[in-house]
Parts: sequence; C-alpha cells; structure tokens
Amino acid sequence: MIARTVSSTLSRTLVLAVLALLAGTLFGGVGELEQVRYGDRPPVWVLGDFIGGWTFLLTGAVAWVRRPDNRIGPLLLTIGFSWFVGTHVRASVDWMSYLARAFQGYYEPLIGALVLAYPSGRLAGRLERFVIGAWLLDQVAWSIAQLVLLRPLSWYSCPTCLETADAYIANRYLLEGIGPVTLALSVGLGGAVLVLAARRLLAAGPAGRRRLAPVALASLALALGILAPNGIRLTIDPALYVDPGVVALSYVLDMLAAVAVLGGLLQDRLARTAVADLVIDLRRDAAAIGTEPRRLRDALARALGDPSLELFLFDPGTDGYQDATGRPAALPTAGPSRAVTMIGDGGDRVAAIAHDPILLDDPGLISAVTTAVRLESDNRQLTGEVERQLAELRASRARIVTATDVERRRVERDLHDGAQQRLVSLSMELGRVRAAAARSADPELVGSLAALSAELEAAIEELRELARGILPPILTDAGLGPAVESLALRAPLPVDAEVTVPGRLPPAIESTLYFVIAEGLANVARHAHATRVTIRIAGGDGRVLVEVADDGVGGAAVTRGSGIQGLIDRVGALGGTLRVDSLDGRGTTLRAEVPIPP
Amino acid sequence: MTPADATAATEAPAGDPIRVAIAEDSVLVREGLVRLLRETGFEVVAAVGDTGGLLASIDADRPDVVILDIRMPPTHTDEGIRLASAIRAREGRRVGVLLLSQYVEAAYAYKLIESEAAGVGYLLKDRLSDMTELADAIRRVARGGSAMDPSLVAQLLRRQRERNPLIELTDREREVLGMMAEGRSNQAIAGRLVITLKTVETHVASIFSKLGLEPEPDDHRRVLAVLTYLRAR
Repeated sequence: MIARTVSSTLSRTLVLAVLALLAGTLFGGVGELEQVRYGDRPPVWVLGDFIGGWTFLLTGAVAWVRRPDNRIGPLLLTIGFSWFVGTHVRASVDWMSYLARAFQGYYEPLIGALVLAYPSGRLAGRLERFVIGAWLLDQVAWSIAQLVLLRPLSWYSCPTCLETADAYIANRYLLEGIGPVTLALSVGLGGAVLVLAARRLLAAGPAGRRRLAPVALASLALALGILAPNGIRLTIDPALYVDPGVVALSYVLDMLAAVAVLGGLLQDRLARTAVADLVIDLRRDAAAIGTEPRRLRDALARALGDPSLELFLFDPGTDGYQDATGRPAALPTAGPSRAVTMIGDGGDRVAAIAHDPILLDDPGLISAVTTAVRLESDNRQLTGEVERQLAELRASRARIVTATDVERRRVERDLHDGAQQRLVSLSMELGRVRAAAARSADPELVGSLAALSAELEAAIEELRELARGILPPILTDAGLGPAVESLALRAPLPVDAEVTVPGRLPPAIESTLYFVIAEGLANVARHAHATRVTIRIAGGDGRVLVEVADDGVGGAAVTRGSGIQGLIDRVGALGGTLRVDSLDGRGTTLRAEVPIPP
Repeated sequence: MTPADATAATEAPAGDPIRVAIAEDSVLVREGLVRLLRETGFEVVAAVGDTGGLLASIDADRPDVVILDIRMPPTHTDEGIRLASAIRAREGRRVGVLLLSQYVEAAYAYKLIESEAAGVGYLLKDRLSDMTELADAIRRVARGGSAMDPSLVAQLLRRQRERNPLIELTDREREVLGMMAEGRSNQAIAGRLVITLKTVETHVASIFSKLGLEPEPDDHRRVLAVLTYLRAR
C-alpha cells in the first residue's frame, strides 16, 4: 500500500511538474517574443534572458519530481515564472503589460528565499522568515502602488500610445516618490539576505560548506545582478545603465546556482543510498564495530558526508556517554555550528552523534542513518543476549558434567572405604574361621565355609567391577593413558592403543573420553563381530581426539537412550563432537573431539 | 647385583619370625590383618593408618616387610605406590614391600617393578581371605622374591594380541609361565602342580626357548623378564 501511495504521489508530481514546465516555457517564450517584436533589445540578449529563466523552470521541475517532499522544486519553478513576468511589459495586450509592470521583480525576493531556504526548502530561523517576508511585502507594496497609480493605456483609448507601450501614469509624482523607498527597502533586505547567507557559510563545517555552494552562487548572482545595480541607482546614479557583460555574468551565476541547487538536491537523494552502504558496512564490520566504536564513527561520517561527525555511545553502566575511544564524554551542546542527534529514545538510549547542523536540512537522511544504527544496535544487543545465554548454557552443561564426575568419584570412594573394606575384613575373618574349621575336621562345615567364601569372593569381585564402572580410580590417579591400558587389557579382543597425549588433561575431559572409549569397546565386544580394535588418542593444537575403530560388521546406529546418545550429550557439554561412522561391512569408528580449555 | 646380595635377605636365622609393618587406613582391615599375621607367626612391629607413620616405623622398628594399602590419606589416590618407590629408593633390598589394593592395575604393577622386581609384591585385598597364600607372598617378598597377583598375571596371559607366541605354549607350560610371573620359584611351582622339580625346569627351559627369552638364574629377575615380555606388543 505504501509503495502504491508513493508511486501515485510521484506520478501526480510528475504531471504537475511537466505541466508547470510547459506553461512556464510558453509564458516565457511568448514574453520573450514580445521583447523581440518590440525590438528595443538585441535578440541575443532576449535569448540569454530566456535561457536564464528557463534554467529555473527546468531545474525546478526536475527537483520537484525527484524530491517531491522538498519545496525547493516549486520555489525554483516560481522563480522561473516570475523571471518571465517582466518580459510581458512589452505585451501587445495592454492589460497584460499593465499587470506585468505591477508584478515584475518578484523573482528578486524569491531568489533571496532560495538563498536562505536551500537545501531544506524551509526558512529555518525567525530572522530569515522576517527578512524574506518583509522583502515580499515590500514587493507587494510596490505592486499595489503600481496597480493603483498606473492604468492600462486602452482605458484611455490612446492607440498611438501602444507604439511605445508606455503606461499612463495616474500620479507620476507619487509613484516616483514611492519607488525609491521600496527600492531602498528591497536593497536593504537583500543585503540582510546576503549577511545571513554569509553567516551560514561561515558557520558551516566542511560538510556544510560543500553543500552550501549553491547558496554562495545564488548570493553572488543576487549581489551582482540585482542589489549592486539597484544600490548604485539609489545612491550615485539613478539612470545607471548596467553593462551587458555584468548582466550576462549575473545570468550565468543565476543559472549555475539553479543547476547547483538541483545537483545538491539530487546528491541528497544519492546520500540515501549511502544509508544502504552504511547498513552493509554495519553488517560486515558488526564484530569490529562492537569492539571498536571508531569504525562505527567512520561509517557514519562516510554515510552522512560529514568528516567532523563525533559519535557518543551510551553506557548504561555509568548512565553516561563515551566517545569513540571509549572515554567518558559529555555530549556537546547543540548550537548554530553544531547539532546533536540522539539515537534511541529516552527509555532506551543507544548513542548520540554530534554533526554539522546542515545535515538537519535533510531530516530523511539523518533519520534513515540513525534508524540503521539503531537497528544494528538492537540486532547486536539481541545477538549478544543470545550469545550470553548460550555461553551460560554451555558453562552450565560443563558444570553438570563436572558435578556428575564429582558425584561418581564420591560414590566410588564411599564404596571403597565402606562396603569394600567391610567385605575384605569379613573375608579375612571367614578365612580364619575356615582355618579353624579345617583343624576341627568337620568336612561338612569345611565345605559350607568354602562355598560361603567363594560367594563372598564373587561379591567382592562384582562390587569391584561396579565401582570401576562408576569411575576407575586409575583414571583419577594416573590419567587417561594408564586407564585405557587397563581397559585394553580387559578387552576380549586384540586392542591396538596409540596414546600420544602428553601429561594430564582436565578431569572432565579425561573421564568423558574414558567413557567414550569404554563404551566403544563394550559395543565392539557386543555387536561388531570384529577381530581387532584400534584406540587412538591424539592431542595437540588445543584439542584432543579419541578414536575407537573396529573391523567388524558396521551398520551401527545411534538410537535414543543408547549409551552413545548419552556420550554425545556429554561430549557436547564440553564443546566437543562425537560421531559414529558405521557403514555396513566397513567396521565402526567412534570419533570424539574435545577442545582443551586454555 | 651379586648373587650374595640377592640372598642377603634370606640369611636371617630360621627361627626368627619375619618382622612386618602395616600401613592401612581402614581400621577394620588393619586390625584384622594384625590379628591374622600374629596368629600365623609373623611379628607385627607397627600398624599405622598413614604414610608418614610408616616411614618413622621403618627407622624405629626395622621391619623386614612393609604391607601397604595403595589408597591412603591424604589424597586417597596412589600414596602407596609412591611410598613404595620411596622406601625402595631409601632401603634397597633391606625392606620388602607388599602392596594391597582393591584394584590391581597393570600400570601400577609395571611402575613398581620398573627397576627390578626383587622384594616387591602387589596383591588384591581379596587374597587376605587365604592366609596360607598371603603368608607365602610375605615370605617371598621378605626373601627378596616377588609376588604378583594371579588376577593380573591372568589378565596379561589372556591378553589378546595380533601375533601371539603364547599360543605355541602347551597348557601346562602356560600354567608354569603364570606361576613364574606371580613370582614363584621352581620349587614352589613343582609343589603346586605336584610334579618334580626336574619337570618344572624342563618346562621353564621350553617356555624360554619358545618365547625367545634368555634364561634367568634368579626368580625375581625371571619375574621381570616374563612380565616385561607379557607387556610388550
């Protein structure tokens, strides 16, 4: 829906702009033809005048179409129209000449408005609005004076008068009195416009000065083509004849200004594509920007075309801002030479940028840029949050493994110190009783005691295997190598063991890898129909790899609830991986890889 | 090492009882063992619950044999193994060391006989139920012989390997090899298997030739050779 609205606005603007351009061309063309017909100015001058006015019409139409949101386009078109009003002073239709005489000259305050309203299309300050408003009022006053004091010639049936196209002046003396006053006012207000423009130019930073080039050009044209001659007429020589060269120069300046205005507006539009580049920059450098705010500052400065841009990141810890180097910094106060734009809202402050106030003239650009930063910041915050949770989860899984091991060790030790010792001492007593019974030579008793003793030995043996399965003491005492050797000795099939881990590993890793090997050997013995097994333990490069490979029938699968699934979880808890490769007829390889924390 | 050294420990007068010191942190087992040994005719000169106490007792009581638990305070891991190494380094052959444990681990056994197997024993606590076996092991160790737990030897003999020369042995020869590995003398083997000494010697010669080992004159060197052979790939 939004796209449709935008395109319909665009097409309506396009139609209006083209119509305005055509109407203005017709209006100006007719006026200039009247000039040629009247013949008091050489055609080449007339042509120059036409080109000057038409440049405003054309640039205005293009600017309007490309930046429908900006009033500069319509302003340029209006300047173009008012440029041509004066040409109709020589109109053969007398009331047209009459109106043209009254309403000519409006382009002067309008160019003043262009100087002060570029590039946003709005007069920013109260002073600016006052000066332009006063200038327009001055012009309106002059128009009213002429409407009242002049009459179209036809009203007096004076056909000969048409020859000179001179207007009948109702009250010549009054008009001659009012003229210099309004002229003096217009020169003064024009001067004020120049002063305000100069102030803007001087206050602007490097980014602003480049963008204000059209203002400088238009100011020069205003000064040279309008204000200077009028000023001289007012003070020194009322009948000043302006050298055609100077007029030509001011025309050229006007045209350059119009073109520069259009160029500037289109560049603003191009700047929007810089936002897209910024988003790409932010994504690509996401990691670096997180740790290096300087990179973000550079990306913003590029996108906004303001090398002086400063970035301040909000630090919730101190409830204050830090500059791009990470030092706490106070936000600069906003003023005529520095603007501060906040990113994020009051409840969720993210950052602030201090920049050339000229950038505020294109609020769309700056809000696009800050939105991009905001989105990226939110994104990074969410990613950070997820990563933090993930890290917590990993740590908690690792802690569970460690806690399990501690618990296993405790149980094994309790068995060792309690039940196992008790049974040993029991078997010793039984041994004594058996020796005594042997002396008393009651064969039945001796036989029962022997059976009892065998049962007790079996119980001790079973308890030993149970305790070993919980956590073999050799693993805790001597490490993975000796523990695996112990496993291999007990294995019911030939085992090749290649153990190249120097020294001890963290307990959780040792126990996990031990259980992987134990489970692997048990599975080989149970299912693989293998003739031999190879156990490989290799460490280095911050990782340790364990492999149990057999030459059996293969085709093993990890099923839920199997010992392997539990081991996959356990290895995963240590940040490692466990894989079972088991193709039919190709044997089975159990491979675990675990990172060794530094 | 000279043959004279090897027999030094056996020169004690026949009538003198063997002096034994015990280090075992389980009170139940320690007290039972003391009573058992006294009843069997050993002189128990010390019975302590930690490693420090045992070292002091060796200086004070001059035992012939110390009986050690492997897991003892303070860490309850391999204190006994380390203490055994320390005693052997300090006392040489004068004190025999017999380790008792709930588990018999090959890695520990080989660590114990690393340098030599003379005067070393390593038994499961299960053996405490048979006093004649235990007394035999203590006497062997006291004499500078060896006593390896049968379950460990069985593991080593049962061990599966790619090329297994043990297959070439007869059942009787394998039996004899196991007893040699446990540290028994030819005389003891003959007694156990109820065969003549001569027959045992024939078996031993045959085993050594089949396995490609050099014949060893001393029992304890024979143990080392056999166990080393069994461990090798």
